[in-house]
Amino acid sequence: MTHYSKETIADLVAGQLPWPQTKRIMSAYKDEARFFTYLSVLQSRVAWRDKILLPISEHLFIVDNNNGRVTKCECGHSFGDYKKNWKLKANISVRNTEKSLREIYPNSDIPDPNWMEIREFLCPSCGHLHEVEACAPGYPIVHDFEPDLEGFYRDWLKQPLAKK
Amino acid sequence: MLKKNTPLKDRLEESERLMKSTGCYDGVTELQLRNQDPLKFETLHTKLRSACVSAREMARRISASPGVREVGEMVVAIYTPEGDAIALSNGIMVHVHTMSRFLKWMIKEGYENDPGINPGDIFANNDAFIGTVQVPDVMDVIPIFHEGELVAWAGAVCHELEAGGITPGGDVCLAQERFTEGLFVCAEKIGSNDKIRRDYVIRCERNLRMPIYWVLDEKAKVASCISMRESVLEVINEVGVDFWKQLIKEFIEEGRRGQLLRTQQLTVPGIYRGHTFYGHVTEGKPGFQPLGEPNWLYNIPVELTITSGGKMIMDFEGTQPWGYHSMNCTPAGMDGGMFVTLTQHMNFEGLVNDGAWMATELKLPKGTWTNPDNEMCATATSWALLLPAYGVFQRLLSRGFLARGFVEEVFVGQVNSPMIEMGGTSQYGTPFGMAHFECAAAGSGALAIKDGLDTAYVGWNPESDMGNIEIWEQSMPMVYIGRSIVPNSGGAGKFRGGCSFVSTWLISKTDHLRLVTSEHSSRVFDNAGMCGGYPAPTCQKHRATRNSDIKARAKKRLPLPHSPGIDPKKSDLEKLLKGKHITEEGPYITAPHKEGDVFTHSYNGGGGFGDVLQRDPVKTAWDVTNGFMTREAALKIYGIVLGVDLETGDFKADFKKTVTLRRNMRAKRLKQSQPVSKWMASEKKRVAALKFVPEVKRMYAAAIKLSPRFEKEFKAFWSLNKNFQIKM
Amino acid sequence: MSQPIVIGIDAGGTMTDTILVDAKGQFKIGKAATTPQDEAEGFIESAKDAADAWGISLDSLFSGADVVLYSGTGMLNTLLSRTGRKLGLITTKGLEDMILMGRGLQAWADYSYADRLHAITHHHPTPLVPRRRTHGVTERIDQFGDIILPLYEHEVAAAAKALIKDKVEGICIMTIFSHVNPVHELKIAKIVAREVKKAKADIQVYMSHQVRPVVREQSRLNSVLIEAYATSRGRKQLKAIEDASKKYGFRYGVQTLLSFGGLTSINHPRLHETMISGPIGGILGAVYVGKLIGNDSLICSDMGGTSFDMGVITKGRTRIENEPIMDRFKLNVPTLHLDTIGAGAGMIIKVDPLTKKVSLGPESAGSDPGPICFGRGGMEPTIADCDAILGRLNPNYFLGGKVILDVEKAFRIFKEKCAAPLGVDIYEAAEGMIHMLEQDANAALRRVISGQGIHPSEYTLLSYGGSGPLHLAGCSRGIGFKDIITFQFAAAFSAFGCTTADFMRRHSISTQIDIPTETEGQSNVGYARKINTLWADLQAEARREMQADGHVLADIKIRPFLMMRYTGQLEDIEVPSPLLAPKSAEDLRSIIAAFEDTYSKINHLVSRYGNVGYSVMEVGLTATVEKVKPTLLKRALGAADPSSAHKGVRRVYMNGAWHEAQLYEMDDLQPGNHVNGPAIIEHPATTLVVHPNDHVTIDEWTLLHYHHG
Repeated sequence: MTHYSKETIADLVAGQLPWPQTKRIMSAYKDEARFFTYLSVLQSRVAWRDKILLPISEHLFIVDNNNGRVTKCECGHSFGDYKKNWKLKANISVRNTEKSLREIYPNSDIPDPNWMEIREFLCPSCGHLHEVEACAPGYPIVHDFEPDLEGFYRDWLKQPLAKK
Repeated sequence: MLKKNTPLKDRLEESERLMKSTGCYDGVTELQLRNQDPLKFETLHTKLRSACVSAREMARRISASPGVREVGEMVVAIYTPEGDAIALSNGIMVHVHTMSRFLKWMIKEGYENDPGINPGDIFANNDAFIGTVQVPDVMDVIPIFHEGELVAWAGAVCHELEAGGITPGGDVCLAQERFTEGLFVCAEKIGSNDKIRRDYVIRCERNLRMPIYWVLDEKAKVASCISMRESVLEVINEVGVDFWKQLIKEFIEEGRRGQLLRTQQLTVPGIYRGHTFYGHVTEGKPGFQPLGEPNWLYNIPVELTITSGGKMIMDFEGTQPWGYHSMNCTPAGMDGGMFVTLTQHMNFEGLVNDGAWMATELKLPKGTWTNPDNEMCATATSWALLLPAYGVFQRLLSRGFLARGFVEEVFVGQVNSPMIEMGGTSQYGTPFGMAHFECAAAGSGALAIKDGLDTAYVGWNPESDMGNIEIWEQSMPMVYIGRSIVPNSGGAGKFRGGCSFVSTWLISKTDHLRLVTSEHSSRVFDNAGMCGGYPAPTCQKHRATRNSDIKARAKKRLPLPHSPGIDPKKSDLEKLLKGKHITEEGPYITAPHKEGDVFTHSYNGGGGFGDVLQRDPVKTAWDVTNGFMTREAALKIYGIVLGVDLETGDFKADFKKTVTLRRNMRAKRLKQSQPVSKWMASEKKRVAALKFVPEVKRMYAAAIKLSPRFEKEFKAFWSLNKNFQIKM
Repeated sequence: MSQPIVIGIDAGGTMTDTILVDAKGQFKIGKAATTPQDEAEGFIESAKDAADAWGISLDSLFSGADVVLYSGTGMLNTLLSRTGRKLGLITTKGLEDMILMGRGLQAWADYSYADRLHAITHHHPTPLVPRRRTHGVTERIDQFGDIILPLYEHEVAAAAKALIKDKVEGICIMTIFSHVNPVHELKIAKIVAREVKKAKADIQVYMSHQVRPVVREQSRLNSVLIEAYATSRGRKQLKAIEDASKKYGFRYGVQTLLSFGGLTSINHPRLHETMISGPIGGILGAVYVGKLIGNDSLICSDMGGTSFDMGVITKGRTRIENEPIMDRFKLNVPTLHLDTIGAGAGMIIKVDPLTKKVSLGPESAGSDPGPICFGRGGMEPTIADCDAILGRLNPNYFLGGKVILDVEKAFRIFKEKCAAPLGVDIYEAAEGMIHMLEQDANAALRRVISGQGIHPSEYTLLSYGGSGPLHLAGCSRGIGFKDIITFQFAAAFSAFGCTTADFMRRHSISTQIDIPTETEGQSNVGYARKINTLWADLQAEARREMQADGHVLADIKIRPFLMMRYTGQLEDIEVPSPLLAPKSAEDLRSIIAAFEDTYSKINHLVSRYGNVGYSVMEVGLTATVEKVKPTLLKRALGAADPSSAHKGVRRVYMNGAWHEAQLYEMDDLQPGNHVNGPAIIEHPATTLVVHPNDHVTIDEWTLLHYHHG
């Protein structure tokens, strides 16, 4: 049965596993224990104690803490109830001028700012860029992911979460 | 089991009824044969798979089309009598289920009675509303009989490089209705007794600009179908026909169950959302009829629900209506997009079949471009919207992989790769027409653990390949003076998107060369990044020079342009050549080119992953040394300071300076940002007052008109009052 | 015993096999581990092993030998380990990124079916020359050989200077369509040579049109790069082999094997043509044995630890592959066509914990750690372990007893990892796995047969390689071959094959002769003459090279061929020309007839399309000189009773039951012997499993014929 050490998974997640090994993992059958190994890798990466239940982006996690289940940035900043769209509690900066678009696209043709803008969603405390939206002006902000957290733990992992 | 020689129509209806009542394919609630002897079961499946693979290889040897021979634009498969795929080759997987629709269509139309389905018959189709993606995707199927009973089908499809439409090539971007898309073959019996009818070949030869591609591909497909037929009959003789009938159903049911299991293994249940856009500009372009708005903007929202049973449901509610352009898609095409994506991420083990498709569901709102309620509309370039749409699907799936910990599977995904097509007088002085398929090698989106693949991925065929210059040049009257990687063409990110390449040609030995391009979204991004990564650049404009002085300069040994260069304001062509300079936003529809003209065309890169300020400086130094990125971009976008290694001349990172610079950039970006709540308050005024250009306004109006749900969500998000309306 | 006159050595990835042959055609086999660092060591070790078997000293072996043939892996390893020379590249300006883009296709070209679909696994190979040492020079020649843009000579000089400054060891030159008109490559080479001379540097220059004047720039580029990159170390290795041979008194030059068959001196100008030569020996051996036993339509199958190589020989001829892949790089080295699948005794068995689906490989346990039963730390169940568990392998006679098999351990781990998860009886499971492997091979053979449009009833299957006889029965069952043959020396058959090769050259040139369907006689004569001229030039060149190698003009045999297609097609098929000097319209018609005939054999009749006309894309020839070869010993058939070779009884699991199988020593079987299954015929280097109801007969050549019951 395929199994990888926590170290291996840690390197993999960090994008530091040598290519031949990475390729082997890609081509092999998936390891059953992956999810919890992954959680432990992430848990030991963060400075805080709250239990990570589910990552929803590279540095955003749904965690258990005393005021319920919240979306949390790796830096520790909380975006509140995980059922709500964390983006609404984030900071934003919008690129909708030729000048601001040029900063990211110095050598190519760029979109028409009247047709499309780039929205950057940042963590208000550490300034990490969590998500980028490219959309028409006026387009509602997307709620990227609403996991069925309880169902996932109950039906797929067979380890139901405590009621909150 | 139904008795021998039950009419196909009844068998199909019965099969569908059983699926409904039992939830399992054809009512196969238990995999008896598999449980009896799992190894024999696997072995037989492998056997059928390898039969498909070698049949496809045979066809590639025969084909005259660089699309098939050089870049493998074909796929073959074996089907149940009811038209469900049992086993398939590698190649353009997109068509496995489109052919299935074609078969079912013929069955439902009563083809068994008229025109009749007999041993040795050959049927062809390229009508998207019957079952394909676009006119150039021509499919051939033959029935497989055993002792007078139809026991299976063999099918093959190639992407043709010339379809005889209003513009040369296959992806006819000028088609605004089906009547200008090219030569249609609508579920037609084109041969019998293993021979293609001569009158059909004559029709092709007289209605296509480059008939040899189509005709020889047709022969190649039939040859491969016959070889699959032989393999199937071999298997039946080995295991017996009743065993076979049960076996193929179990293969598919197993495929269905396998898909549900994979989803439960690799993802997380819940609702995933994403979107992309597509902007089309034809204003003032010759040839386009004023049937609709010349310029338009499409929104493509996708909502993916993964149920606790592992079923995937994809919903396109809220997207735009079909239009008088070539980019509409049929449900068959939408199926295809779904299928090809699944085979790349979950079903790559090769034992995949239609079972995987049965474990998914597409919601395609009637009247939208995904399911037109008018079958006169054109679908010649439906890929233009399909690819962005399924790029979104790949990102949604990837969100699931990421959440589940399978970071190595995360893939920002596919992008459009605009094709150029051409026709006129060839370098041999003969009439010709061709689609240039080097576009089958764009940049891929980034992964969560490494950069995207440079110049070697397209969504429709993972076996991507740009082909040899010395082969392409045998089919067209222009010679390459450049084919090079485009720096910074991959979307920025901790892991950047794969870079694209750009080709530069000198038109040669012709005085009449029509160059046409399709799939262009230059006004808006039709791709995106993930987890903080940026989209790859929009589709690039074309740079060309007519009547250039290139030959004269060459005589004087003066420097010549080999690409448009990295100055978007003034291309190398403008800097280095005299002549009539053209910067044309696609699609490129202009007067014919001739000897001495220079033309450039670039493909697209993929979106990035992660925050640019986390990108590895060492990797970046390698990028700059090898021309995937400019030093300027490394500094200004990524905050990476590079020096030069005097030993090797390679670039190397200055870590200390980089750390300081990045600290400042992070502080600056935070300072320039504002809370979303604050931004929404001000933005709401703009929305309420509809301060948008007409294309954007029209997009909202159309989405609201088609989708009450979109209207509800739009108004709710901006808290607009109930009687808010968009009047055009 | 007499004196060996031919020494054939095949240095594979793990073992180096030697075969000694005397004038009567008698031979002995030697084996030793391959020594990649200094192949000469393994070479001598293996030769010594064989010399001992023959009962003579190394000195008398080498001093008495007429020919030493060596096919090694040195150059391939240089490539795989990226330890070749420091190169620079000069190419057409604007196309410098070709080395990084690799056509896109090189990111997945040699992948398994699954990985080819599984897009995230795709990855570009590291180029043999870095982008920074790739210099573009302005120039363009088109498909007709016309100069579209002149060569900018000053750019060439600058590029050369830069590369010299970079201290490169070799400079490669590849420009577009140089195979049609080499004038720019030649000019570039001249300027580079001038600069190198000026700088008093020691840099070799390679031109793509000289290494391989054939269409498809990516492959031509790879060919010239690999020639420059990998062969210099290869030459040293071969020189070392020659020195070692001479040290023991060998009087001539050592020969090596070309990937399209045929021998050449180790001073061959295009040594990369010898890189894929390992399995080639086998095919040559097959052709040769076929001639001996009067059967020239054969399918040969070589099963080792990892791969199952198949080749087809029709009427004594073999198909040539023009664009094989070597370590991710697409080349155009003509190579005897081989179909290869991952299937061998070392193949690792996996059971998907999720779906309980079974899969074989693609990974193989190789020789280190090897299968579990080798007891060298291998923990992954392999087919070899199944063979041991079922009693098919003799635990005390593997490599003649050099390795003692740990069957108990294999049993334990196989049960835990495979049988248990599947919920199947362990012996049943083990046989099932073997069955899967044999079915894969069986299907592959059928695929090859259908792919080439041939009838198995007209073909004889030759089975060899260490694991060939072990799985012969299952691989061949039900296909309906005319005959099935294996050998006492199956394990060293490739080495044997090398000893049967002739000295050979293959020369060809790309062209484009389009022959419309309806042309009046006169222009047909023109086409015929054009082909004739091309052949004449190639003949001159071939003879020159052969004579340079010391061959006598009169001994050189020329065989012409054409690469042809329907006009507009992109794939050629190789057509053996019915005549050497076409002059008349009639001659041309006979060439076209030969094409149509070969074409419809390979592809189905339905795909013929003569009314678009015919194109000749390449014209070539092979020039050969015969050499002394082993002749299999023909003896009168004796009694059917094999008891002289009988060595005992062993319990063996076959077809779902245990059997008391009779044991025989392979080398002791005599012509005429008749062995009934269930039986095991053992050899220090291989094992032949004879299933119940099947039987084996020994013919007058002492070849083993397998008969399905």
